[in-house]
Amino acid sequence: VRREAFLDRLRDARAGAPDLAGAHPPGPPPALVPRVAWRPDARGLEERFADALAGVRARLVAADALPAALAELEVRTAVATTDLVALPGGVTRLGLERVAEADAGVTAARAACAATGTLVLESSPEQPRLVSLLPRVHVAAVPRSSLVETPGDVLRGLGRGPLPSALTLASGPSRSADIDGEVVYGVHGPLAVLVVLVEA
Amino acid sequence: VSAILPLRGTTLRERSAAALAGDGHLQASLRGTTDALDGRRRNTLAELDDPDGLRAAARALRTDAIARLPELLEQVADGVEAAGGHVFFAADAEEAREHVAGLAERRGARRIVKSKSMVTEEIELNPRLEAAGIDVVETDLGEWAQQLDGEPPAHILGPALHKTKGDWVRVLGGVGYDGGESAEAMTAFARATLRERFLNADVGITGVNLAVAETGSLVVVSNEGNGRLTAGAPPVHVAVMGMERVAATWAEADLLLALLSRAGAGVSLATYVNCLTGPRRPGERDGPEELHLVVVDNGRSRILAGASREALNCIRCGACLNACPVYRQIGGHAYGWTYSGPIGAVLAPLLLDDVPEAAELSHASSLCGACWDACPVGIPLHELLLQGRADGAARDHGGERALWRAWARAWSRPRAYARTGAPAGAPVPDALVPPPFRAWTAGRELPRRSGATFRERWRRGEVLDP
Repeated sequence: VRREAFLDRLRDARAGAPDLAGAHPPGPPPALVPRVAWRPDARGLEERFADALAGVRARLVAADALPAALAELEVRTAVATTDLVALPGGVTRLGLERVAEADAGVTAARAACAATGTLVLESSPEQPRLVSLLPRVHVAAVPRSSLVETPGDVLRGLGRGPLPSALTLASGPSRSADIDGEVVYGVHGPLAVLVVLVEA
Repeated sequence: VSAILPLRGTTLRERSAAALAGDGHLQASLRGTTDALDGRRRNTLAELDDPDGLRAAARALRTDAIARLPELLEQVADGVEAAGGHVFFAADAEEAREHVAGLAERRGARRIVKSKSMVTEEIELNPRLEAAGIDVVETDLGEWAQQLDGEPPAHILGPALHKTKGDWVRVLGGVGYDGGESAEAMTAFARATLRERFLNADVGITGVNLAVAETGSLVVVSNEGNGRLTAGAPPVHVAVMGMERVAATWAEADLLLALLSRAGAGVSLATYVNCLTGPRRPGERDGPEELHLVVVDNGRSRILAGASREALNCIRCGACLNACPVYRQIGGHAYGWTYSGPIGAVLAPLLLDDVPEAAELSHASSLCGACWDACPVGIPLHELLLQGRADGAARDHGGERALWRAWARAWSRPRAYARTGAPAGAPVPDALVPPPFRAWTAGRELPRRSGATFRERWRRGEVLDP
């Protein structure tokens, strides 16, 4: 009833609205929503991905360089929802219920976007959403074959569904410029994001 | 010291003077922040193939979505409900506030976390929840500082951009911070302090950047991660949305997110684009058990029925604030209301139709069109500001209208026109200008003519060769 009354008020308002043909009338909507396309880039997707990750302060690391990278970030404990990357010997794996105290969260990404360094993360019973969010360090395994060029390559397909309860496009560590315009990383989400390309 | 005056009972001039009083930090910081944001907006737009084409398409798509608003909202509501969420349609601020307060009460909520949302500022949600004895914490870094300092946000995107590091140290000092002026130390303090609040909150309240009709999904954008935590950690998620924030399809959402990210924070894509479809599913370990969407009208249907309908196309990026020569001088607080800058000046008289002081904001513009140029969805804000002035004039039955009429009548007659031009020779002293016009001459010089008028030269045969 409330919903109908609300929508009826909108329909009435719309019916009484004047014609919008002002000095700058908007044109009719395009038949197809244009793609958000980047300027042509001759580089391969992996190279662009690595650059874009660096641009948002994330890092692409080779699987064999991961132990050193984690050691540098003083990671001693981790929770993990994937076995696509192996935890180094010095890192203790905690149960998922201890996600709030772990130094690192290791997850798989469903896809990644080369132009923006974006990870596509999905929630599921096996992949709680907080694993990539609460720990200081987020380690993401990205299957090489899932690398696409732009966020649109992922978003435009979502209409076909079904969708997870939470699908997150994450580009780099959490950041803020609220304190006197100075960009700071690691506000409420991870302080560092390490990305490993895997064959899967 | 600068002060924040309310809209009611004050003029724009008084509010600007109050906001600008002080050491000049507000001006310097406005300049620095808005320049940086505007520069990043241009740089990130330049990486795209056809930014102007995308902007034109976005404008047409937004206009079309607003024209189909009842149908799209219906689709959103059906989608949210099909995914297991609840939808409430609130006709005004009070209905929205009471509904959210009722939800909190039913859950016995004591602690609420919020991520930055302008519409909850607009409906004055926090005071209502606090009156019910609930502890409400803003978790956006800048918004938290504003809350601790008892101030409203000063910018749609950078709520505390007017605060110096010294201000930050003082404000955070009130809740136990003693780490000096390092932004990193302050951020680490905020992280530790607010982390505990997130994990112990009973309800999380967020805004909504876009609701995507085709799947009933809510898109919540944040850079700090507080949007994800607020929507993901507490057992109840309440999403409050202005009714105009609807995208028909994900393709449209992609386009709008690309433009919003660049125009707002000046990044290619906001750090976190969180797309939520319903509450936690069976077997999931986290996520809210309940998801509530609150769709707020609160005067927007009046805009839908009027000539300023395109104001509903706004996606709240804040780019017009950064570009506006008036905002850049006086800052957000001088507007006296939740929404500032050109879009705020357009919305205020439309949404606050019971506040006479709001009409004046249509004049807080030089009509230069920088706002239009910066707007990622091409809203002709300068024309809407003019429309606001016209609306204001239509409501005015007083002396100003009679004065302009008399002037128009006089200048339609050649003889009267010839006699009332700018005088030649010595300037008229301000003391001779009668009172209502003296306010105008106080900051300007009366025009002076040098030499003869056109009519005199015509009479003397100087204009055309014989």
